[in-house]
Amino acid sequence: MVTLLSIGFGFFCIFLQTNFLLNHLVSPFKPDLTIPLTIYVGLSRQPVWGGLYVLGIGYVMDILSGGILGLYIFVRVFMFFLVRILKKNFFLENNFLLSVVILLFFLIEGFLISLGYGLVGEKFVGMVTLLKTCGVQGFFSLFLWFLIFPGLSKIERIAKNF
Amino acid sequence: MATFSARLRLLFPLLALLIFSFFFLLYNLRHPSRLAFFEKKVFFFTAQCQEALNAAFAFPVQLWKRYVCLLGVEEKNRMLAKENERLWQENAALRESALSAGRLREQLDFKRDSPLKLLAAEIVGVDASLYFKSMFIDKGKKDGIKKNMAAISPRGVVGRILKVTNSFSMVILLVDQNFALDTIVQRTRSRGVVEGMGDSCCRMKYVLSSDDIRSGDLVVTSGLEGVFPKGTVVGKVVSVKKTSSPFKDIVIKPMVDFGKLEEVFIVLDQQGRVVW
Repeated sequence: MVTLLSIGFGFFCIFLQTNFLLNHLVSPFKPDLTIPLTIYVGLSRQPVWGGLYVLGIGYVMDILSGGILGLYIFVRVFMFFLVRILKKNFFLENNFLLSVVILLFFLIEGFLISLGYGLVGEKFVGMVTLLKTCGVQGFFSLFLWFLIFPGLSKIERIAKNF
Repeated sequence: MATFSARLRLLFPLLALLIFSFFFLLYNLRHPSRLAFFEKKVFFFTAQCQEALNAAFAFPVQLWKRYVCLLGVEEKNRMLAKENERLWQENAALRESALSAGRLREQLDFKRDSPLKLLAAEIVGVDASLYFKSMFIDKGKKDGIKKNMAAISPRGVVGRILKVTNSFSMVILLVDQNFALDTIVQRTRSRGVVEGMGDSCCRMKYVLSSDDIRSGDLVVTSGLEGVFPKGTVVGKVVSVKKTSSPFKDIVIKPMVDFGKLEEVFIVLDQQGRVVW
């Protein structure tokens, strides 16, 4: 039940960020909820299941974005790996620290994609655009995540007891 | 020793996943393939859900916009904006024709007057990523759409078809960093390549420093690549800087407001009529 809910929630996050009407209403903000979701999965799920889950999320992201296939799979799996390492060394249950980590991961994603594109000699956005996107969209996504997340936790608790 | 091997056992699947994803990315970098069967299904499923969600959300949004918020004013404004757009495009087309007429009369006779075969499509979703600029439309292979076809709007160039499934397609937008288009400055006929910057603007490259380009100049498609009809508006020059290289640094603001775009036209054929 919880597994199904998690998959459903992953799809819900992707629907939300690719939804034309939502983006239309909150333009110029564009959320990316899959980053906080990857961190959440990294902190709360088993490594193998979580790894496969974020791989799936990355795959769908790849299909629904204009980038190279495999780019988001790698970035999401790498992030998941990083969260597992952070989890072992830091206490991340605190909301403030978690927010900092989420924002940091927005930056990491930007740099990883930029690095990947740079390595193969392909064009990518400039540093100013990258930092602006990370900052603005990171804060907006964080805000949206903290609006949605309590609901998800509640539903998950109910599902576990069910 | 036992703890170490237990850690390794936990770490191994994750490392395997990471290595797999890395090599999968490398493989796709070397062999950029078209959408496979499963990818098409995922794209189709997501786009259909988006379409359903849009339909569900459309009613309350429209109700708020049109009746509660502005009563009759919004409708009137929309009509005026549409009329304004039509006149604006007509004006730009006439200016383009007038400028070309003197020098290119012979070529213009059969190019300018040829009507386009257009297919109207509705936008159902936007790119999942923060860094790529694309949109999903509700028309696909079954409607005659093919990869690399041009997407335009009454205000000008929107983008190019990137991925196609049977019923939905993805349009890479003019502002995406992977988009490039051969263009000319309408006033001076200086040629250059317009490339997206990944935000709301584009850069016009390879325009010689000696060319007279000013802020406010209109940039249109050259039609040389055969995808976009010649003279389609791309954008307006917003800044021109001289550099140490032989070329100018020109920034262009697209005429199309991608945040407000709701429908696009796909150029099926550069000769024909509008298909609704």
